Amino acid sequence: MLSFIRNLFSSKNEKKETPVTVMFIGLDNAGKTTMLSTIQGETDTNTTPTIGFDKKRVVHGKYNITYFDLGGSKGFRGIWDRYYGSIHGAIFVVDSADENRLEEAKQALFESVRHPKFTGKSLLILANKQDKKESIPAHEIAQKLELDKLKSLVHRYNILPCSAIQAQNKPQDPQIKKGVTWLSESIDEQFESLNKRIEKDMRDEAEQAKLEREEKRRIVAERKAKEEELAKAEEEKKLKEQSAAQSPE
Amino acid sequence: MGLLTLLRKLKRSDKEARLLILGLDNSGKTSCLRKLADEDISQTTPTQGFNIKTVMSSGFKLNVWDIGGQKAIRPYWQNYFESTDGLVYVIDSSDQKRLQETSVELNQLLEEEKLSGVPIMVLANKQDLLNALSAKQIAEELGLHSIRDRTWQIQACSAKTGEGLQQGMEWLVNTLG
Ligand SMILES: Nc1nc2c(ncn2[C@@H]2O[C@H](COP(=O)(O)OP(=O)(O)OP(=O)(O)O)[C@@H](O)[C@H]2O)c(=O)[nH]1
Ligand SMILES: [Mg+2]
Repeated sequence: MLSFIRNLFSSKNEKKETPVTVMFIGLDNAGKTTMLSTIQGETDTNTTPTIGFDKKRVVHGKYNITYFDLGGSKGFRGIWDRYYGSIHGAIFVVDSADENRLEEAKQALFESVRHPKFTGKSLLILANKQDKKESIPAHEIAQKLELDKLKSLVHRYNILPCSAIQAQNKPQDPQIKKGVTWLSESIDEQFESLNKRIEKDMRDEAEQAKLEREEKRRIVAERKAKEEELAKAEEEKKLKEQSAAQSPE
Repeated sequence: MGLLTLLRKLKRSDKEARLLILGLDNSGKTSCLRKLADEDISQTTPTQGFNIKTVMSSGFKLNVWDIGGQKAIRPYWQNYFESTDGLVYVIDSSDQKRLQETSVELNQLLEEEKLSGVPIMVLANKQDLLNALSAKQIAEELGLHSIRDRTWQIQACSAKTGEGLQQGMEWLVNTLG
């Protein structure tokens, strides 16, 4: 009976959570993958550079957030825009201790928000690695990234200083949770219209992917048929030659 | 070292992981596996059936199955899908003519129920060759961005020089946890 009641409650709770998709962007080595493991509550934050895609689901208050983590290396950034259509908002992670790359980070950031499938969505900027001595404070990062120019490009934006990595036995940096709360609430404000937009973009993308797959299959099948035909013709030619050689003069 | 060092990083409780190496014929599956095991790769011949490499270290066990990629053998791949923890899919990055073919094969694998959710490491092999496409180009050609039901990673590598192999496997082992 008790478990029945518990199930009743948990299934009810599950339904109540609002599904939201959020994508991590930012240069390589910014700390996106580390941030995601921290958000998941993991303490072992050993990472290898991402040159691919990972997806994690984490419940945050009344939101069930699916996080996309993609690689940020220069050669790989071009693939980010393939995911913009599916997201409600994004988290841009920046390495606050790497002053030399702030210009590059700014370029990448604005290229993202200017993409038609991104513009108008919400953006949280995490000024990461604040634990490092040489780190630059968030307000200075905001200046260097020229965040004020985001106003006309996104629904809302916000920047918070934080550390994805904490010294041993120290609890997770509360700024991260605060940021996620801010982002989910900001997404919630335009939830209905966002959902409609995402639904449409994803339908278009799925259709496109299906067409591409079918086209490939067709080309491969055609090539195979041609090869088989050639092989058959070759075989027949050989047979003919053989029988010609065998037939009496 | 290679596989052994990686094994020590496996944290999973059952201390055993099963990897499958697939890809078209001539993509370099066996060479990648041999290079990782520090073996000579100059003498590989087309794999007619399969090779199994089991590596053990401090109680951990990694079983790697390398299955031949020739067209006639491909239908048998499915006999090996059961209880696979990770898939390594090897591409000959220099063979542009066969990218579509390998893409079709990969898409079929992605639809296999027994492999659903299995993490994929795509090895963009033969990077030592001048005409090799970059990992990003391969990712585009294969349409990897439409894989949303599992984690994937692409690694540029060369079984000849060994470049990238270790990183690729390290990611997979990390991911298996
Ligand atoms: N000191 C410090 N180091 C951090 C912090 N966050 C991440 N790092 C380190 O930064 C390095 C890169 O972290 P990743 O999370 O792999 O970076 P990423 O953004 O996912 O990089 P790509 O996957 O290449 O795009 C790792 O060595 C992390 O340990 C932090 O808050 N403080
Ligand atoms: Mg990463």
